[in-house]
Amino acid sequence: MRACARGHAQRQQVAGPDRLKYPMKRTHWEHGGGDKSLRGRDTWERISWDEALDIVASEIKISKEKYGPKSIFLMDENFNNQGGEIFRVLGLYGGYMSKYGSRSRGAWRQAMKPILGYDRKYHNQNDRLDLVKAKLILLWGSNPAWNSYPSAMNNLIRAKEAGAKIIAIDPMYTTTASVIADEYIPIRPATDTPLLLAMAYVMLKEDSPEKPMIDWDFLNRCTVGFDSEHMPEGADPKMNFKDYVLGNLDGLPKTPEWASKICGTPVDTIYRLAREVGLTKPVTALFAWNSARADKATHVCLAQMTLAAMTGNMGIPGGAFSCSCQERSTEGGPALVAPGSTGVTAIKNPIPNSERMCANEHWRAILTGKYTAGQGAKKDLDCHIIYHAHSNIVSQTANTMESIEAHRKVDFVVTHQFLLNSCAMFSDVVLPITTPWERDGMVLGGAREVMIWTQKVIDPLFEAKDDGWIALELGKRLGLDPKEVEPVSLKQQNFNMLAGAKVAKPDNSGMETLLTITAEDIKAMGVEGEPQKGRITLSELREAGSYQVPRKMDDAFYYVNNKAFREDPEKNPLKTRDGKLQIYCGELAEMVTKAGWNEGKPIAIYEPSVEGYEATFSDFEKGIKGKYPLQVCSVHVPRGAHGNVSNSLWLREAFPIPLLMNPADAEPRGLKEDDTVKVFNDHGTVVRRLHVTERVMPGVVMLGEGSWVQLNEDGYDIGGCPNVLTGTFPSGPDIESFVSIAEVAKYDKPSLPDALWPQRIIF
Amino acid sequence: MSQKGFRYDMNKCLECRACVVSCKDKNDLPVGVNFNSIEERERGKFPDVYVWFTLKMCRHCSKPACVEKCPTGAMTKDDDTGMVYVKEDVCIGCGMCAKACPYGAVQIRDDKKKAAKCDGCLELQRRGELPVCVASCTSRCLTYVDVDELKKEDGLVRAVNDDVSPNLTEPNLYYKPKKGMKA
Ligand code: SF4
Ligand code: SF4
Ligand code: SF4
Repeated sequence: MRACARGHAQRQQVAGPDRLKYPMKRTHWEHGGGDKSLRGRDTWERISWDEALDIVASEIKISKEKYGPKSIFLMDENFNNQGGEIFRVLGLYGGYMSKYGSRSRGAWRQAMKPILGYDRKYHNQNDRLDLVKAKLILLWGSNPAWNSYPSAMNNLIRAKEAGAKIIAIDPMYTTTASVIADEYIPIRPATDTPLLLAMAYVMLKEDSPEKPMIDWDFLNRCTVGFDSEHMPEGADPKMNFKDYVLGNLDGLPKTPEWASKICGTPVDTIYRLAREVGLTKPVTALFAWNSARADKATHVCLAQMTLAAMTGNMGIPGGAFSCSCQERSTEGGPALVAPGSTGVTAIKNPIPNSERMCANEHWRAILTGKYTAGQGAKKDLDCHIIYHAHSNIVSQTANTMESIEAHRKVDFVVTHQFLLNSCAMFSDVVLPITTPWERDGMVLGGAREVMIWTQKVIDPLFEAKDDGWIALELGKRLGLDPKEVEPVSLKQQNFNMLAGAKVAKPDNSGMETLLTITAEDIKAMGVEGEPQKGRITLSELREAGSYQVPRKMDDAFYYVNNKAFREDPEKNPLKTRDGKLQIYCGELAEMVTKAGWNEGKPIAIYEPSVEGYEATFSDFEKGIKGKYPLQVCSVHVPRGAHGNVSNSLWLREAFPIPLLMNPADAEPRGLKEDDTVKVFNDHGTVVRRLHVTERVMPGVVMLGEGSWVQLNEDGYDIGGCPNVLTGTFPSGPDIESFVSIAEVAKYDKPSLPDALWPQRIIF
Repeated sequence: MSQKGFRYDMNKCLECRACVVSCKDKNDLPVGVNFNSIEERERGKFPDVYVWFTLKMCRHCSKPACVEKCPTGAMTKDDDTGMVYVKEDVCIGCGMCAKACPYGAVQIRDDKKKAAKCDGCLELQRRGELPVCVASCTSRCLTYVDVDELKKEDGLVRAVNDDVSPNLTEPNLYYKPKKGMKA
């Protein structure tokens, strides 16, 4: 396991000159907000911890008493794994407004439950060592070389060396494609469903006993909703997938010709791809979450599961259609090593879940005072405080400009941070916190085979404090019992996680204790506990920093997802409505409709995104382009992990994040390499340097995400935050859409490369 | 004198720049001073594009032009490893080395008025460790070995893209060109 560039730049995050050193207050803030429009551009004043905590506590108190606990919107992104300290404080103090919704995972998180019976990151993936058994691997919008290297790349390289053909499908000829793909297939952003539907069409038309493409046996035994013969109880037999694809439902066959017009993949390529996926056995298709991070993208989830079922790529070695992201990139299977529990029981928010608002419209809700609470229902919201404990959602959520407006509306904004990130910048009070280097370590699970234990490296710098300490201090001021605010110290929580860590037995017959811990260890750590026996010693883990379960081909941990289900679906049903894979998913349609934004559909159909490809035209049928003729695609880039380490000058220099544009789009606009350009639409304007490249699909511009928003005197974001260009287009069950369209033109003010910007140094 | 060299497999490089940022960290280099970099090149037309990445760093040449042209003896070739480094206390910042190097591997630092370049992480090597860029390469496509071994291996070249002929300075960075790349 080797660190990425971001890891090597940690020093600039922890100990750079832009580290937040002291508690501070916006100069023109006063109770009630003062001049709120100055948020994000005011000056700062250093204040004492006492003053800072007094302000925060008194604002919370007043807001709760005057407007009720729902007036406090709390975002606590839990960076510490054991965090969420402010959830406890406000939970004990009467409650807070919270959000629900899947930001990163788009439609996948909610949709896969009714379709496939589970909600998990590794979705439907087989073991990473199973990749070598695939004959064909599709990387669908998946670019691990930029966002989950190196282990995912190594797994894929091994598969390639074992003879798998790799096809990358993406709006960009990605770095992953350039390193390992045998073929690259272009597709426009947010048009995955048409391509999947057209592939299904070709298979339906061309499947024959001589050239079997469709796994009828699997469809018949394991799924419902594919054709009128196999419908779930109570469903209208006409509403089946096959009839929809063939055009029997709406008179529109979902041919490659039809799809190509939308997704931009050449017609003959769609035929070739469909045949190749249909005729090659087995196929592994790895989808990034991005494909379903678009409004109404539940259809992507349905369509890809349907194609998996049609081709029978489920429950067999080398065959899986699945998401592949984050620490579970290319890696399926139940965890083989995992930390124990912290020993802390969460405090329930007294405000019930039914009152929460969805992340897909929270900024608009704060601005309008209304939020969607189910079908036909709106609830009132009277938000006076935004509390950010670890988050960077001003930049990282859809519609940054609306987010800024929301921040400029409320009476008080407070942020815990170690750098002046986007949330801190738009706050009234900023509380300087410790970085992971200054804390009592972290115990991290999540990956299948690895558990990590980080150590404290240095004492807290300047006046930085742990979130736990802030929670206790606020609790004191709000009259809360410290034992309830922090029932278990951070150190003890870590110990509990270590002591409770389990690892799979070598024969995979169950889990056993990972760590041997002696009485001396316990004494040295200054915690309470009992000595125990395990596989490795605590000092071995400390020394190595992580424990990795040893693996080899075809070992006891080899894992094929849904194998038992495939073999005997009656005996091993999925946790879906009738135990089968739901190609017709009534439950999903109901979930979507009930959420209150749009009407759910039970089968994979194509519903364009509000600001999808079609919206780049004023007349799509006639091919007349509109005022925003380009699609904007925001992508993860190696510079930061979202907004994290975005301040590092080394990273900014190594990864400049220009706007990427094809020469076919640059030339007619008179744009050249390294020009300063503005990318604009009705939501906002971003200023960037231009990189003209053949790697990007014509009609699409690409922008790396993670930069902190920075508005200039024209109100344009010179920071390069793609969410300045996204709008608020909520859809059910809880999808936040990151799809957008724009125009690009030359900007006549000079712009410095990101690495030469002044750093955000306050004191 | 023994000579070590770097082997860089262009087929496996991910342009992840762990090598670049770890070098900046280790040497505490400000923006604008870089001992190594990854260059991205492309040819063809969308969607038939070909992309390749090239590591650039000091080649620790066997006939180093920088050493030859240095008037003070500050530019030095290490006997044990063949690494070429600057003795800062002797360097007068005249820039002759930078002018002489055909690979652009030497910079004169504005702040220090001294030559600055990759020293092969010599002090780490003397402690038995690998150069930092090698130790941090996420794809393990960059390795550090005895040049005699590299000389024996087929398919390695010492000039890619628009590099000068290796006969000039006898560089010791060996490239394994990417498949399909016009070397
Ligand atoms: S690459 Fe340039 S600086 Fe390095 S040894 Fe050769 S001539 Fe000298
Ligand atoms: S050998 Fe050391 S100094 Fe030279 S490029 Fe690599 S990390 Fe930098
Ligand atoms: S660390 Fe290795 S893979 Fe990454 S850019 Fe450098 S040479 Fe390439």
